[in-house]
Amino acid sequence: MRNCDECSLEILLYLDNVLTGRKLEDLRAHLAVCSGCRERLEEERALSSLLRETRPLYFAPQALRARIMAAATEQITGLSRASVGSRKTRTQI
Amino acid sequence: MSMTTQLWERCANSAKLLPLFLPVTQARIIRVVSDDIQQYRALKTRSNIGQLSTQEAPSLYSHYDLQASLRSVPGVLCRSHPGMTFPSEKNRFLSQAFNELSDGLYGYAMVLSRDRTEAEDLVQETCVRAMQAIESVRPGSNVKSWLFTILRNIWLNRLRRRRAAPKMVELDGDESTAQTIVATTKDPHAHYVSKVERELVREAILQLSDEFREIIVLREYEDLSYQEIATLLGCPAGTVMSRLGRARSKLRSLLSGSLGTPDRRAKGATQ
Repeated sequence: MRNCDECSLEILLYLDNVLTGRKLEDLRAHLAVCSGCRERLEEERALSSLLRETRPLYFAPQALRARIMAAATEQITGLSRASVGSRKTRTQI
Repeated sequence: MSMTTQLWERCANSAKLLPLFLPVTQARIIRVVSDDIQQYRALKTRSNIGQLSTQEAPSLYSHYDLQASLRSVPGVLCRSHPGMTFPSEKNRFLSQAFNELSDGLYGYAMVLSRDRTEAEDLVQETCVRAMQAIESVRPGSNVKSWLFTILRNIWLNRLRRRRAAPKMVELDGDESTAQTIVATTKDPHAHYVSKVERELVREAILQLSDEFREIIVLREYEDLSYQEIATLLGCPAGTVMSRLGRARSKLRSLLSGSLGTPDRRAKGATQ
């Protein structure tokens, strides 16, 4: 039987749905008999839910998005011009 | 049908070509590849595949994953231009990634720097560096992790240069235009609740230590795996897990004063 400390990290894996096999069975067995860990599980679940609801944590300012996209466009355009200029010949595939 | 044409056909129908760069953009990339394959077929029908111009050839290559797959086959494309690469294709792909990850990158920059101007600068420099280094990215690489790593390295280099702690700037409640646009598409009450909650969560996260803030954002907001975070931070996955557990525990206690768990709030509302 696992103790509560061992279960604390496994509760996170359980919430991520990545706990499998014997570890999953052991955790479930422990949760069945430990009200403290069941409460901990619900608290972790509630925190995960709250964090999901607040995604994204920040919104990139519109001006920043515009600058990035302008820089990307400039880079693409510049490369395309260079590419066309440097490859005048025809090639075979 | 020439061997090259057969290979194109085979590759065009191969699931191996679907790139695995970004889970969040996978659907879009699949569509892009699919469109490009159609474009390839149209080009093939229109002209002799062996006589396409260099301007048309990039369309046939369609995606550098495809190009790399073809090049990995010995003896294939031996007649192609030896230095044929299509950086503009990669950059187009990268600009899509920027578009989709800008909130995440900006959020990560905010929790690292806690300064709006600094965060914007970090994101912009990350994008510039990524554009410059795109040729080093191998097919199948995790571009999301790569971009976050670039941002983190830029930040660490700045910290080293300054040899001082980052300045603390109080964040006001202003939201960007982007958020205002998002807000109009949501239910006003739901938006108000989520905005209040977001501000409370932000405040709580900003009270965490540097390493706790970082790991919360990478795991809980960016969905990076434990292994991806471990690689990014340069520590074992076990350390990531235990640090995340401690960070969440601290965050829970910080939020408990402002926000109860949903269950507790529900109980409180019924009493």
